[in-house]
Amino acid sequence: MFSMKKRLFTIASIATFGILLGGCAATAPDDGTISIWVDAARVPAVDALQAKYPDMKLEVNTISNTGGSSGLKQQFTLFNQSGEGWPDVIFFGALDDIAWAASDPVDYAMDVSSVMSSDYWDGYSDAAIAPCILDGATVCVRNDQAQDVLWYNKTMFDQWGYTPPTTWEEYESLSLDIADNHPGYFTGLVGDALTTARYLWPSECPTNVRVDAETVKIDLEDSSCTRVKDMLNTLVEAGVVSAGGAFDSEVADKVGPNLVMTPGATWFGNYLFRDTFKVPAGQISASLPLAWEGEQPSTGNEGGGLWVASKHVADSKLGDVETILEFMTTDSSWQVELSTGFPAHGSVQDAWLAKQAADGYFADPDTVSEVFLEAGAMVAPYSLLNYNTGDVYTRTVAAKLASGGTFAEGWEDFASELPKEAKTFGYTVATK
Amino acid sequence: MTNKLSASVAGGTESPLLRRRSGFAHRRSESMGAYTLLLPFLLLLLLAGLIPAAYALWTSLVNRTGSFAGIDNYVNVVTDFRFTSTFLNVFATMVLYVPLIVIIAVVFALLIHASSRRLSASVRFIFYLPGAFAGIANFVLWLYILDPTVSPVRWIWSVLGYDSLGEVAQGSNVPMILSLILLFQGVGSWMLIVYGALNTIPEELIEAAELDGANAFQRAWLIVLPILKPWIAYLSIMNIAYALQLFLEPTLLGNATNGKISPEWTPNQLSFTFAYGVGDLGAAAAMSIILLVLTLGIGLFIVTRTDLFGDAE
Amino acid sequence: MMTTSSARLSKAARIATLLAASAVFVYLVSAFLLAAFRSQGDVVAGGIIDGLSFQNLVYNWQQIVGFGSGVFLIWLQNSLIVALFAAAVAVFAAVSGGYALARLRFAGRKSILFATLLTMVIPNTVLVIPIFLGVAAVGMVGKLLPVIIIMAFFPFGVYLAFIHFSSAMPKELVEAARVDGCSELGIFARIALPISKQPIALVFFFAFVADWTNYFLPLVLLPSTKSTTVPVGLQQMISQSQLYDPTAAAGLNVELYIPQLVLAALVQAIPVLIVFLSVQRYLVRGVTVGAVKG
Repeated sequence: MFSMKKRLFTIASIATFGILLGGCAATAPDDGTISIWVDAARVPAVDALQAKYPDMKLEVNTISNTGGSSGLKQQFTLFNQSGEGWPDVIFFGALDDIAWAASDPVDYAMDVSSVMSSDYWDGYSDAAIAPCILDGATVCVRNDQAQDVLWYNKTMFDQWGYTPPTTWEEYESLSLDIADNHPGYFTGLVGDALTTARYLWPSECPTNVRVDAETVKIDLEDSSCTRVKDMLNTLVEAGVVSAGGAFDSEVADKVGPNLVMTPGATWFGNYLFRDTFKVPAGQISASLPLAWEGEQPSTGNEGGGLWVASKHVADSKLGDVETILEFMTTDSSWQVELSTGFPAHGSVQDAWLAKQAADGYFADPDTVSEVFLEAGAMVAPYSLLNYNTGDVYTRTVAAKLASGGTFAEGWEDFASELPKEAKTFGYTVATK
Repeated sequence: MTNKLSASVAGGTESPLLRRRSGFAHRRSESMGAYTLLLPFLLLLLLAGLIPAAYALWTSLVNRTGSFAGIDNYVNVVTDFRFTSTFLNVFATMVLYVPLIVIIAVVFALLIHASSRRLSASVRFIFYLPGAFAGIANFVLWLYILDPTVSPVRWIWSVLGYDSLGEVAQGSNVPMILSLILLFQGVGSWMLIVYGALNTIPEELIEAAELDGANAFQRAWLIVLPILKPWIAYLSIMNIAYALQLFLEPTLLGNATNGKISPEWTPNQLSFTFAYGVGDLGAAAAMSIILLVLTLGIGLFIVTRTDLFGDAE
Repeated sequence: MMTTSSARLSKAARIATLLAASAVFVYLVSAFLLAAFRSQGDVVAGGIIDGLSFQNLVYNWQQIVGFGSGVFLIWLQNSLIVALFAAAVAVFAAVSGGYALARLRFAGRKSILFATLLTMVIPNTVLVIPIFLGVAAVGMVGKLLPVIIIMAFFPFGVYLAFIHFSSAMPKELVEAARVDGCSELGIFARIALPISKQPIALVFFFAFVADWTNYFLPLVLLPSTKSTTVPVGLQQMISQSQLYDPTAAAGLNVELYIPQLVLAALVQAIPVLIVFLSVQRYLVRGVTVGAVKG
């Protein structure tokens, strides 16, 4: 004795659910479509790829590299649970991502050492491909190198009679000089997640040294760390190093245009100075990374993206995947024409540098080119682990600075939180 | 069941033998009818409530390889270096938010109740409107308000000396900001609820007080508020439970400040990190169970100790 | 006896307070609404009215639908499917269940009522991760159906219907129909349903709003950008906006500044407003007993 209304509703619901079920059971069509996940900045790369290979079937998904990588990790946890859904190729903007993507429990990355030719591998310097080598396997290919160099405003320096420093000690005293004689100008940024790469990595401060698969060494009391802390504390107090971050919009407006010196990645030149801070052409130049007095110069990497292929790719698609990896790292229509980052693969570096010189943005492009090339070989060894030192830095030191505290106070929080973060990821923390 | 049936049938019947048989048949068909009508809801309760809760419990008691781990996951969760701070954070937010929303909802309900119909209707609509911008839409609104570079009330931020969103949303301000965000979207609905309750108070009671010489304030304080007490309790407790499970707003604030607010600011965020950041599903499940027990406790308190659901018996 | 002047004073104070508070709300909401008609430059420059133009609105809309090749529209579609179906099922379960609890006698009635009240009070995010684990175990993550089912569980709806039938439907009516030989389901269909307009409208409203604005559940069950709902999608838009992630700006082909984000948020709020206005008349009549928010 169901009313007509109710019966109709029941039928309608069941029918619709059926449609939904059917419609939603969208299994990936295995017609050779390659699924490729990139961040917004790499979409032009995929466009270039498609332009060169119009017959290749690509399915593009844009991902966000911010908000920690737990958004990505979430999806990969999911794929492992359900046994499907992995992208065939993915771009990681942050180096740390390869650590979790290539190890248990995610275990997603394909070992491409035998997939690419030996000629191809010869094109990579050891430093350039280092982040991709994990336990003897090569689990990714490097898109760009983001080695830190010392950026400075040559026009202002010439005007003030300065020459770029070669040691960190000189950097500190020059910054204090600028603070006294030219207030309102800045010589560094310490408010973003790449600060640790920019200042701590070159000093070889042990924030994440892989001892073995389960153990990490963290020792922020080491002199290699405290010397950076003291220097930055002094400079932030003096107001000459900004508590803002490279990606803050306030920095873009107020600090960036007056940033006359800073260590920074190769992409600072175009991406930050030219496009974001809009410093006029012909002013910015770069010099070699700094050294601590009596030591060899060494530098860090602020990113430098990775292209990763999935272990789960069907054999029939392997050829296309190899083509994609090779294109993304060596094809000039992307690497030279469009990419704002210094190419990691040797075969396109000169062409990229030549284009930069032709664009005429830097004050002395030849020097900048040389500096980029040399600095590439100065990158200090660095372990990539499941936790992100930069993220911990941001929510301790950068947060403290934003609430009006000092760098040293924030550092205390940083020093106490970093080992705890490592432990939640299952690492045992050693201090020696 | 048979005893209850016969007992209820036996009371108030005329010809026991005849009635008993048809009464029993009635009872059975009534029960069957009831269960049929309740079936959809009970099924949903099973699928969305009981089964997940049971699965969570099981997951929280095993380790990654599937073998029984006892309370290990719970110990890990409770001793995690962020566990206490998540609860301190939501507590700091609650301490601001709950009193504010209760006071504002009650005071404005009283004010509206005493107003003319037109004013009352207009104000009710205006206050309720932000409720339509719930969740993320409300957050976008507050991104606009909180960022000194674009805010329509930027003079407030310049008086406080803030130049950037990062400064406005610095650690010590976060509980207040969250309270404001929640208040804006919530006060309208709660005010309507209290207003509805006010409408159930008999006019004569209030008029009598007025004749006795009580002014508006005394009438509110001495007569209306005591009657509203169960509603105030309900309001408070519901919002405590709501603050306890905060996730969206702190996460988005963290995004908007480029990571300066910890992604594990609240308990729910911590559970999320356990699940997806670290990949420790046992810990995530344990955290969920802890939150479930807490909110169940709150629920039990409301249902059994307040008078609001007396009519449900 | 209170003098009329102090009565007038308190009346003036009351009206002044109400007007002041309303002014704040109106100002903030207006600024928000108007921002969608302006450009980022206008917004930065200040005020809340400068730069209003229809062209800005069109431009802002183009930016939003340009993001991810129009994925915003897919989010709207998904949200609509999920919220409508979940609310419909919730109404179905609530009206039938609420009636049974209110007017029928059966074993377990009190327990079920108690369970309903209890689950009503628990925030819906508490079980989201366990729900994810369960749905993942049956391989249904990324599909809309499990989201609909989970959202359809709406104990508050049952409670609303229960209150309605308890007060609006005399027991004698049920008894009489029973004596007439009607089956229980028949009584429900013939007698309860026709007087159910108010609970149907109310439950649909509350359920729809809760489902439309639900963030956490789609976040875990529909994690892929292309198949998720508006709240989750909007959050991804915000996190890739030039305002908060300038590195994304390098490759982003659309502007996602304040006016565009505001427009996206407004579009997301429109269905709620529509449903709210449609059920206005049912809302006013003493619904507020026991009303709870999502």
